[in-house]
Formats: sequence, C-alpha cells, structure tokens
Amino acid sequence: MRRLLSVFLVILGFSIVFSITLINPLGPAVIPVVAITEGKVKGAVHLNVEIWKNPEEAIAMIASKKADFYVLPITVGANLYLKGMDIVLLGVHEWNVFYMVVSEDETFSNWKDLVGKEIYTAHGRGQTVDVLMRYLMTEEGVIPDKDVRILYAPPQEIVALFKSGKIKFAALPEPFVTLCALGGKGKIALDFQKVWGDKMGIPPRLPIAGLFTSRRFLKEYPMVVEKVVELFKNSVEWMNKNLDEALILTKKFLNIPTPVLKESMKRTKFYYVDIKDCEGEVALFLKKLNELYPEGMPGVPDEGFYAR
Amino acid sequence: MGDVLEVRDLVKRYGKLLVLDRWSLKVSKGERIVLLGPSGCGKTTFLKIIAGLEGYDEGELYMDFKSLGFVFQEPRLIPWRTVKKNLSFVSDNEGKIKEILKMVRLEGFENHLPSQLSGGMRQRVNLARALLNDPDLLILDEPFSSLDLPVKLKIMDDIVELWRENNFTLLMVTHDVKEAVYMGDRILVLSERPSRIIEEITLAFHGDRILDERFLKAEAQIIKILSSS
Amino acid sequence: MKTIVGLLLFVLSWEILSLLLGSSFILPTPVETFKALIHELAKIETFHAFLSTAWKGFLVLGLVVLLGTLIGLVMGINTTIYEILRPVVTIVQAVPVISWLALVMFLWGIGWKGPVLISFLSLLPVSIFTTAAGVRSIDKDLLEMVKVYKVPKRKVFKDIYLGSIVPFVVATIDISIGNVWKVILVSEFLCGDKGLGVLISWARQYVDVPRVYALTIIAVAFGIISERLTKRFVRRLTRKWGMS
Repeated sequence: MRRLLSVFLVILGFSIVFSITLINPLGPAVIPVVAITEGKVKGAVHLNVEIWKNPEEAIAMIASKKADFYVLPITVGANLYLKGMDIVLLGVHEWNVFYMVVSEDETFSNWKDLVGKEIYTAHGRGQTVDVLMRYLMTEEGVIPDKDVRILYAPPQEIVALFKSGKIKFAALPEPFVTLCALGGKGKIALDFQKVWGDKMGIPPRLPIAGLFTSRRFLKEYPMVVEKVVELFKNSVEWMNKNLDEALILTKKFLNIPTPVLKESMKRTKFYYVDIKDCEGEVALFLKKLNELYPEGMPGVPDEGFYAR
Repeated sequence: MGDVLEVRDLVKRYGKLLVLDRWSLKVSKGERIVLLGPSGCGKTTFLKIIAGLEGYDEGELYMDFKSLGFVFQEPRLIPWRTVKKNLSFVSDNEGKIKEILKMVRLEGFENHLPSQLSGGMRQRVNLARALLNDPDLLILDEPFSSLDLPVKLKIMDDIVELWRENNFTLLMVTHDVKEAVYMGDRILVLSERPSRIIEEITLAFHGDRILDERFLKAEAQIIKILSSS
Repeated sequence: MKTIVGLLLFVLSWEILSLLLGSSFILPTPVETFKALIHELAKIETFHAFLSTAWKGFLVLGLVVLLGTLIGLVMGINTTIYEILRPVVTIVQAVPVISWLALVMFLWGIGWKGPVLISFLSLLPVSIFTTAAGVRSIDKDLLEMVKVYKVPKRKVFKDIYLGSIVPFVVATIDISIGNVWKVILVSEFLCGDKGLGVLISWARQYVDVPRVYALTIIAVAFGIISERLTKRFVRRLTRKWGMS
C-alpha cells in the first residue's frame, strides 16, 4: 500500500513538475490534437494543450517560455528562426489546405482567365498562397497587380463577400474554401498543392504546419521530446481513424458546423512526417518563398532549423 | 405733444418673485426721464418690457413711438465685424452711418474692430447704433457704469447735446445719483426689489450742471431720500 | 533644448523596457527599430503607402469639417432639429470602429472607401456636437441686441451665426487632425487595400515586429507634423478674419 502511494506521488510529482505545455492554433488544426485534450490517447507525459488565436499570442507564449512545444505554420516558424528565436522543427503534420474557389457563374481553366478581374486571398501580402499564386500567374505571363487585382481580407470576410456574390474568385485555406462552395455557390477550381507538386516535380503536398520546440529543450530533455512527438503522432493517427468522433469532440473549440468541417477534411490532409523524412521538401519550399518574396521570407533557414 | 409712454399699475413677476410692484408713470415727448434705483431692483427689467423683450403680468402699458434706440450697459458689438459693419447691421443708410459716426466723434474708425477700440469708444459705437434710425425714444441702461469719470462726463455731454439737437425722448436707468441729476429732467426714485416708485423729483434747470449749486442741492436731497427709504 | 532632453529620456526608457522584456518580438530595441525604419524609408512602396494614407486623411478631415459644421450649425440654431438628431448622432458616436467594418466590407469589400467612411463616421459626431454647442453658446447679449433692433434673419445668420462658429470650426479641425490618422490607420489595417495601415497588417503577418514599429513611427511623425502645420495654417486664416 505504501509503495503504491509513493509510486503515485512520484508520478504525480513528476507530472506536476513535468507538466508540459503545447500550444496549438485555433481552427481545423485543433482536430488532430483533440485526442490529447480529451484523453483518447495517453502518453508517458502529461501534455497540457493551450490554444492560440493569432500569431502574437503564440509568440508571447513562446517568448515568455510558457510554451514548450508549439504547433505553428511552417512559414511563421521559419521567420522566427531567421529573427533569432531559439526554435527547431520536429516534424510536419499539415500538408494540404490551399485551394482556389470560383463563383458558380465564372470559369477558370488557366490564370489568363483572371485578367481584368480581381481575386481575394487571406490576411496579407506574402502569405503562402499569395506567394504561390503570384508565382503561378507570372509563369503564365499574367502580371499580378497589373493584369489581376489581388486583394487581402480576413478569411471570414472573404467567405461573406463570396457568398453574397460580391467577389468571384478567392484563394483560401480550408475550411473557408468549403464554406464558400457550400450549396453550389462556388466550385473548387484549383488545388495549389497539386500545381506546386507538378512544378517542382515532387508529391502534390505543401508543408503547411508542424510541431516545433526550442533547441534548448531538445538538448536538455531529448527523452521527453521523443515521448511528446510519439503522443502527437498518435493523436493525429487517432483523428484519421476516428474522424467522426474527433469532429464531435472538436465542437467545443470550433463553431464551424460539423458537416462543413467534415466536407473540408476531404481536402485537408493531416499526417505526421518526422523532419528527417521531409527536410528536403521543407527546405525547397522555404527557398522558393524566399526567392519569390524576400519581404515575407527574408532568408533561408540553415540546418539549425531542423531537429536531428 | 403726446405721451410717448404711459404705464398704469404695472406688475412684473419672475415666477413667484415680485420684481415691479405697481408702477405708474407717464413720459411725454421730449422729456428726459431717469429711473434711479439700487442694483437689482428691476429697472433693467422695465426697459426690457418697453423694448419688447419681456412681457408683464398686470397693469396697462401704452407706447407711442415709431422707432427705438437702445444703449445697452455693455457695448454688445459683434467682435468680428468692423465699426462700420456693426452699424450697417442695424441700418443700411450709408449716409446716416457717416453722419452718426461724426456725431459721436468716431470718424476715421470705421474699419476698426471692437478689439482695437477703447472701452469708451466702444460705448460710443453702442450709442451711435442706437441713434442710427432716428429714434423717437432713446433708452439707456446704465450706459456709463464701465467708464472712467472723464470719459463718462464727455459722453454724457454728447448725449445731452444730441438730445438738444434731435429732440428725442430720453429714458435712462442708473444707480448713480450724479448721473441722474446730470441727465434727467425728472428723476423717479425707486425702492429695492420689489421696486415701487417712491419719489419723483423734477429739476427745472438746464445748463452746465456739474458746478451749479442747484445740482449739489438736488443731489443732497436725493441722497436724503435714498438713505431714509 | 527641453524637447531634445524629453526625446532622449523617451528613447532611454524604451531601451530599458525592451531589455527588461527581453524579446525583440515583443518590444524591439530603439536601434533595431531605427534600422527597420531606415530600411522602410528607402522603399518606394512605403512612399506610395504614405501618400495613400495621406490623401484619405485629408479627405476625411475636409468632409468632417464641412458636414460637421453644416449639421452642427443647423442643430445649434433650431432646438427641435437638435432634439431630433441628437440621439442619432450620439449613437453613431458610440458605435465602435469594428462594427462599421462589417457594414463597410459588404458595401465595398477591400478598398479606399471603407477606411474613408469608417474614419468619417468616427470623427463626424464630435464635429457636429462641438459646432452645435458653440452656436448655442452664442453671446445671449448679442442675440438680445438683435431682437431689440429687429434685424432681419438673413443678416443675423450671416453676421452672427456664421461669424461665431469660426472658433468652433477651428476647434473641430484641431481635434480631428489629431485623431484622423489613428482612425485611418486602423481602418486601413482592417479593410484597406493601400496605405500605411495595410503595410502594418502585412508586417504583422510575417511577425516582423521592428517593421510594425518602424511604420508606426512614420505614421506618428507624419501625424505630428501635419497637426502642427494645419494648426498654424488655420490660425493664420482666422487672424485674417479678426478672430484672435
């Protein structure tokens, strides 16, 4: 009895001392971690999941050392690394998410169809899909900003404008793509991942988001990192195996209706790939971004960015 | 000849507060009437009633004059308009404006702004404005209270001179005994609020009053009345 | 001299605060920000954005002064109109910028009209109320004088009402020029297609904090300069009219 108690106390003490915080973005990226928050998968470590709503919040949590592990867009992680933050990429888990949606009364067969028109995309200049879109346009002889007007707005606003017929073309991440296309109001005209893959001669996928930690943490607690990665991987797998259940559990975090979310998951691909198996792809992606828009990606992270 | 103004048992209240307590007086054409009373007794209120700015509660009021000039206690000039513009605000008669300015000795100051004039000069513009439309009745509401003595004496002389030339009826209100004796033919002495007309003094002399012993006698008489009321 | 000391003190406290916070993602040091500022000023993009913000700001200022004075004048003269319009203006004044955003996005999407309308609606109520209060506070003595001499209404309007509102138009300009840039930047940030506010929102996207601060410095500097110049210009104009 006493031994059981002491083991329990040790584990309790351990987990209190070793309570690890993982921060995760609000959005569909919640679905792959819901297995952790709801206890569907368990690991040797207790992982406390906190949600961040905007990049500043995430950075504040990282800078103040409140977070030990961070789920971030790859571009954001790379930018932070380039700016001197102690951050290292462990693996990529979000691979497909960007599509072009076109209003039902318009057609899109190639970029020339956009000449004289306007297309909306999320957030601002230099976002992944913005850079890709401009690159693809230029490749086909269409001059961005001159031939086609590119406008930036919050994705929710773009959905509202699209559904009210005010805008006809939008390049967005899921689930906003599905929200636009709902009820036949729009159709999906382009898969950015596929086009990227075709152009680069690689599989049709883009490294969108992944799991990061600090190099300091990795050096001090390699065993813990291993366990966390394992837990994270299991959580993503659990989601893929039990999608319907996962969607129900996510209800308390997201207010996107479940059927919409489910439909959007057809085009959103989550699976964990260790960095050692995709470093080349990520490096290629970041290199291309830097080449196309150095304002948004001021350099190319060196090998210190990738966990070994 | 006729009465420019007749008042019978006039009563004025502000809410419950009685201000004018049954005033009765008559003003004939060409007279110089001064209402002499302490501050706050209601004499300005009476002027406002005559000028049509206020009503009254009881009594009768007959007025027979064609035009009215009102010299306010403060100059009340439009600060961003020149002397000329201040006058043309009230009358379009350019010739008359020139004449009046000459009368009050402000020739050459047409394009000055009120801020560029002394207090006495501003009050003279106030006076000029009142005279523009050839008033039958000139009302003056403590017009000298903000002026220095030498300035005051000059303006009082000016007004008396203008009265001699134009023969308007003059109705003035003041709390200063010297001013009253200087300016008035008939002085109506008022009590404190609620004010009544308690005494009427007729001065039968004209001329340079300040040094006249009759002036001093009249002054003393009035002061006696005031201190006993 | 004292201004320079004040500025140095400001930069010093900034440096200390930035070191205390310890992360250039939260508060970059003055040096880092200055470097970013130089980098920004060298770009033609920044200059275009600045022009875009500037013309919008002056347009809004003009509209606010014009319409605010007009409506305020009418409300000040006529008590019935004042009572009827007051609740509407008060409500408009209380609506936060964010709430106009949805309306504006629906009308025009992303563009220049949104920021202009939002800024206009944010600043107009103060202009209206200032002018109306001014008209209502016109020297009662002057109005009494007008009554005694039975001056025709047209003259009263021209000489008294219009003349008396000059200090309030000046006050409106003073208040508005101080606030217009802040509102323009925020609304550009939310729904603009060009301008300094848009650049700030993009800098935020790439987590380029020194850039955000650098752009802010540009906006602040322009705000202060334009405020000083406008005040001086307006003072000179009113002095010509004899209003000190």
